[in-house]
Amino acid sequence: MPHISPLHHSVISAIAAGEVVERPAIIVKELIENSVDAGATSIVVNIEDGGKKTIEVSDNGTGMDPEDLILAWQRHTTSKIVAVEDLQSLHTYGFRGEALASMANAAKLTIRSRTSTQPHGWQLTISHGDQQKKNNAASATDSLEPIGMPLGTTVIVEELFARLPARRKFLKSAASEFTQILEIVTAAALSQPAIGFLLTHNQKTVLFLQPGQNQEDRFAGIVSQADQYHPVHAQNETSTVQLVAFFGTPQIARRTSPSQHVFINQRSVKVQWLPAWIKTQYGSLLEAKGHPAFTLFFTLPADQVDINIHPRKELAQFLEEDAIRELVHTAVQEFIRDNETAFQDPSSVDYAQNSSATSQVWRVRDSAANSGKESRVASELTHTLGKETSPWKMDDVAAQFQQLDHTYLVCTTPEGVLLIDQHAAHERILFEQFRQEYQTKISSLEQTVLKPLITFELGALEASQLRENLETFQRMGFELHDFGERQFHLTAVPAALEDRNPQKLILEVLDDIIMKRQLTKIDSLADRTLAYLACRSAVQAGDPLTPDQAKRLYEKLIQTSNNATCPHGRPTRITLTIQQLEKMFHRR
Amino acid sequence: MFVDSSALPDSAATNPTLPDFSTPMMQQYLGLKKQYPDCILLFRLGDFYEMFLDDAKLGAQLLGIVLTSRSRGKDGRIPMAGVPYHALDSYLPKLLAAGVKVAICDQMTQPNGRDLVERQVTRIITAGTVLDSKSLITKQHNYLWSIHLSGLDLGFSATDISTGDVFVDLIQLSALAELSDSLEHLAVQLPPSECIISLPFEHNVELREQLKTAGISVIHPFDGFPKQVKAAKARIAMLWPTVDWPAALSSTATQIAVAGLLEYIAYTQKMNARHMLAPRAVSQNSSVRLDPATVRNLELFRNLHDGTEQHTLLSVIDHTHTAMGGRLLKLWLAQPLAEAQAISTRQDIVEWFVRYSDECTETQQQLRSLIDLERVLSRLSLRIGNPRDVRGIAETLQHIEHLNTFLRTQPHLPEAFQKIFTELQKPAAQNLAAKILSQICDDPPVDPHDGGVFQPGQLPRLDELSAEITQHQQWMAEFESSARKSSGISTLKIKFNQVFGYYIEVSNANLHLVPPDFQRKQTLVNAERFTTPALKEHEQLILSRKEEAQRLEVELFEKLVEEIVQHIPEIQKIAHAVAQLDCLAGFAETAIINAYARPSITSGGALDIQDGRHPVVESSLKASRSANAQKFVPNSAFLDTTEHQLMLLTGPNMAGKSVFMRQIALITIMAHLGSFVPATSAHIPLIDQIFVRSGAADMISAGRSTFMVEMVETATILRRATPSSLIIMDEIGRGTSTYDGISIAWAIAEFLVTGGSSFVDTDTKQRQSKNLDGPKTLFATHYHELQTLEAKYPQKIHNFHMAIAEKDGRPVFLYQIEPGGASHSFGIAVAELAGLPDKVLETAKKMIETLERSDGKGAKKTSQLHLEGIDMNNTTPLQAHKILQELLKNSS
Repeated sequence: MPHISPLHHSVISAIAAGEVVERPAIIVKELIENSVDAGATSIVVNIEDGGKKTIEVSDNGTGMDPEDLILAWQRHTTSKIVAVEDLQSLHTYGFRGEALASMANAAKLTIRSRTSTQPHGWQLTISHGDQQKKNNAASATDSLEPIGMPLGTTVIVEELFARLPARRKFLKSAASEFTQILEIVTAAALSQPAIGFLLTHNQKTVLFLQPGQNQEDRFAGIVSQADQYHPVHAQNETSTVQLVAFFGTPQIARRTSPSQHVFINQRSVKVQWLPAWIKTQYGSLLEAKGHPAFTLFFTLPADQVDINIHPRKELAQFLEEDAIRELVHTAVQEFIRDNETAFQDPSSVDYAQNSSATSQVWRVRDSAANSGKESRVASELTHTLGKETSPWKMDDVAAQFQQLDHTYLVCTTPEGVLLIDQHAAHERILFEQFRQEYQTKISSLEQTVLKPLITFELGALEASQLRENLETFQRMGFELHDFGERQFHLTAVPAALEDRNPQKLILEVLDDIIMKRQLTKIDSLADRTLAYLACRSAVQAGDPLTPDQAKRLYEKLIQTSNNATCPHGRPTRITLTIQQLEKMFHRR
Repeated sequence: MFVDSSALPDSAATNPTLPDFSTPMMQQYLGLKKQYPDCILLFRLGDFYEMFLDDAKLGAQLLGIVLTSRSRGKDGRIPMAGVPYHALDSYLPKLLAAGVKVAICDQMTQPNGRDLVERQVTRIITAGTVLDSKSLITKQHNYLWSIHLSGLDLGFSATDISTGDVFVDLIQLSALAELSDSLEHLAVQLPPSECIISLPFEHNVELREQLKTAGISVIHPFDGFPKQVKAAKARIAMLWPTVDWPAALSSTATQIAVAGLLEYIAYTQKMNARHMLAPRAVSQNSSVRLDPATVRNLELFRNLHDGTEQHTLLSVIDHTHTAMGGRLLKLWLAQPLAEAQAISTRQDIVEWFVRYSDECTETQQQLRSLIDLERVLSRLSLRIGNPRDVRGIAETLQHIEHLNTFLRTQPHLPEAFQKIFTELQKPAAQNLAAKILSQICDDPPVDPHDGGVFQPGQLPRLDELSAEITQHQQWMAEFESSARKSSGISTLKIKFNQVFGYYIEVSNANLHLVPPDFQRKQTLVNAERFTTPALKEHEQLILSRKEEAQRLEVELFEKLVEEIVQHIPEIQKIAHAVAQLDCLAGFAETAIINAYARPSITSGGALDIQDGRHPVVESSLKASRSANAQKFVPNSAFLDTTEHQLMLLTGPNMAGKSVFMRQIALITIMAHLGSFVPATSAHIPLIDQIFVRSGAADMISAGRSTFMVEMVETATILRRATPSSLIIMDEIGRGTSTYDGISIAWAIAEFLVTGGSSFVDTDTKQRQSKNLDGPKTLFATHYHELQTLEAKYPQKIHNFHMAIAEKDGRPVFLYQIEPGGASHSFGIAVAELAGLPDKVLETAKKMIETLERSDGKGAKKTSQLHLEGIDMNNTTPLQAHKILQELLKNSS
């Protein structure tokens, strides 16, 4: 057993570096924030191999003098605060002076910068903290080189974690790392409409945004389905708090990973209570499991908000939370009031040719009550089902079903009472059916050719996601064509989906991919897609079934494997045994 | 591949007589070949176009196909080579590129097995008259030139038959030797793929030489030029009876050139082209003159490296989405505007598109769906258009109408749009489009003879016929099922093919069941084919109806084409307006992507560029996007005609002098196009000519050395430049010995600021006090001696250098321009960067030390001593001049 001994400071630096810059996206975030703080009007981000090879961020900001440049990469140096009191009135993004220092330790860092008073720029290269180990500024001065360049600063981070294999191991695929970078840049671009952004990945332009835009234009340039959002401007009584909000229509609400962004004083943050609060305001406009899409921009005095509750400055707390709640409430009400007629007019719903599909989305329910109940029931049931061991015999069932609430099928069996969730059951049946076909590679999932074809445009993030997974979708029977930029054409869909809204489906599957980033195997992705296919094609809760239909559903279910749950894990059927009933009635 | 035209059949007129043949077909061939001795005759034989005899030998070589021979009875074996008729379009470009004329000979009657098929030459295709899309480059005009020299008057005319544009010019030469310069200048603006010259012609040989010097290789003498001016006038009046002639067209030489051109078109197309637009003058006075050397040196259209479009100004600013726009942009770039009003009209539109970038994108999206109206119209006019072309025109006109409506309803439109809207708004054309769309099917066949071109309801007889055809086909279907039932052959089928018509097919297994009234028609390996009298009768009915329907459809189609041809002038106007929109929206896109600014154009005053960038270098740096790629360093520039007339640039190689000077020329050109420019702001005065003298392009082929080329170009500049010109002199005098070079460079720089008057003291003084106007000049040199010119002409010349930093004894290029002269050329350091062997570098270093030392003992040392004692600020120009004279005396 080795003795405990203090670490050498170079080791400490190396460890700490990984804490701050654990992945390329964080580096990009820090560098963009520096550029914004430097007053840039144009920021160019060039990425190679998801940032594993190169991250380059250049701006046309004020730049640094050579004297500053020598200090810039050292730990706890910053131009942004001098004294502790400055933290109270912080208007800049960065302030801890750690970011560049960490990068210098974790990678080969090159900084080039030129101020307006300099006839040329200066370049400094620090390789994996080499100079830091020597621990003197003189060596940095030595490596300072003159270079011809325009005004501003360029930071290049190469060979990230090349000397920290343990950390490098934790980097994901280039595509996955880039997706996170794209999210960061998108958020930055949303919060800074006056700044022009160019993002490239492996020499291809992914995002290009002109400088000098207003909030609305910038929003429309980035967000997918921007026409499904409505802007609302609001402020509190004393006008100290300004809110510009973009609320998505209920049509684009999603079950998973909704598009929700909050910016406070142009900083992308999370406010824990906000999503739920806004959902409550939408009330019965949403499906039980739907989450509204929104993007909020708050502008308020720096002392009215605390952004330092999280080391990465990701969470924020309002000092006067109640006032903010009230403000958001007003904003949502205004949005609903202004657009109510639009919400209820089916023709205003995005895809006229798929109106039957959209009407499904339009099932208005009491969201709060429903969601609570479902989750409780679900957890109990998984518990019981886990214990179930006896094989399920159909012969025992007297095939006479009653439909309950147009959602559940009920029938008696010799063992007790059988309850079936018609939607979940059908979903499982279809899923297994689809999967079988898929696995035997009969891509003869019958197709329906769309006439006219559907053209749709996605946000830059989703477009990049979809492009990566185009093949999977094609194997599913979607005829999707990449039309460059963020345009896609859909010419055919699986026949099962004929009367659904295919674009919405594609978006939802994408959502899932975005949320579950570990997802690398194409098979599990296919499963997910199939699950959605099944879910969207299955009979819905609320659809009336004739006893015959009910019986056929039941017969199919028992022939299906994994028939106890739907592909999403909800139970398809529950048996209340006579024993259980006896227990309930305290007969035993 | 270039074949020397003397080897081509165009001299075949004097060929030994063709051999005689006894077979009728070969006699027919010879008859036709005699009419077109200067063409390769493509002789249609069934599904092939065949070449015979010498044509076959040449054709096989050019096309890389097999030369075979054909046995023809008594005539022995005849050399032969052929291409499938449907693949003609793919082979034609190869023949045309070699400068060959091709005569297409088609079969005019259907072969009937008895008589010789009648054949006629239907079209002659040459590099300058080709119309099929495979031989033409979409975004490039294909010009045919016609030249007639009468004394020292050069009559010039050019056309792009594929679009209908016609240009004329008259050049009055002072000597025949000037011809190639004029031709070269014309070639920059209207690059020809073929040139016809009148025949016979006394200066034939010399003209050919001059044309070749100007880079024009496909030259065809043509004997159809009218001999008399009267005939020429009549010929022109036939096509354009009421035209306003450009001034150039009043000369005899030009009239004959134009008439010759029209004759040539008629000769090759075998009909009069009716889509030709009224002739325009080549260069209106309202354009900036760019001479060929400038166009080449600035790499406007082609780079100097490999002659492609990559890394040219065109490649940066061309964001057009239609063929029409692409071609117009090339013309714009060859002839930048020289009128402030015209420029600001374009700028206003570009600015609107930049501000409303979504609308710009939408406009471009809509433009993308348009077909090449101009070229399709010419095809229709020459009767080689097809139903898809017709439908395409109608759809495009409709798209344009949508685009027009879309734009018209936008807010804050500048006045500049109005003219374009007016040209787009052509109700008659829209009515025509609606008519076509209501008549022609959505997806018509390529060949009108295939039938199914028209929608039902166009012609009662046609509908009747198609109903009858359906009826008879119905009968066939019923007949099939009843025959199956009655015979008991379940696999019995009625089929159709071109050769045998309709027949009943029965497989061998069922042959025993065939009813007796079936008549055997054909036997196959595993089936037999039958017919019956009833089947025959219905077959006959169907075929005759089909034939009639086809004839009617073709007639109807031709009528429709005729109607379109009537509307050609209007549609061409629409096409031109669309092309303008396309170019301007493209400028806006370029401006948005690269963050360009709108320059202000003034009719005089200073050229003032703030933070200018080189558009091409900047975008290729951007395009590389690899890490560590340099970022372009912007530089400002200020030039006027008086106090800052000449920027004298010194500094080492590789430091960016040339890029800086060219960026000023390019920004100036872009400003004159109406485009935005790569700078944060720019004031550009109207410029009449831009000259860029640079590089060392040996023209060994023309028998000129580097230095000769340099001097010839410089002479042109000094002769032509005016105070409104912009001149760029890049290392003038470097093609000769150092002292020669310095002297020449010195003298040229002085000439440019003094207007070339003699160097008498008083005169110089006077000139300076008057501060006469001179051309804005950028002058780069390695001869640091020239820096003293600043002292001599402090009111005119200012020294600048490219900043260099040193790191460990090596130069670091900073690409920043700074006032003052450079002291050091870093020649050896640059050589080191380039990787010259150490040994060479060592020797060079020793050599330079020796030179500098020995120099110090000689003239230079004295001059340095002399110069050190001078207080520059208090030296009058006169004193300076005297000092210089003394120095020169000492040194010589």
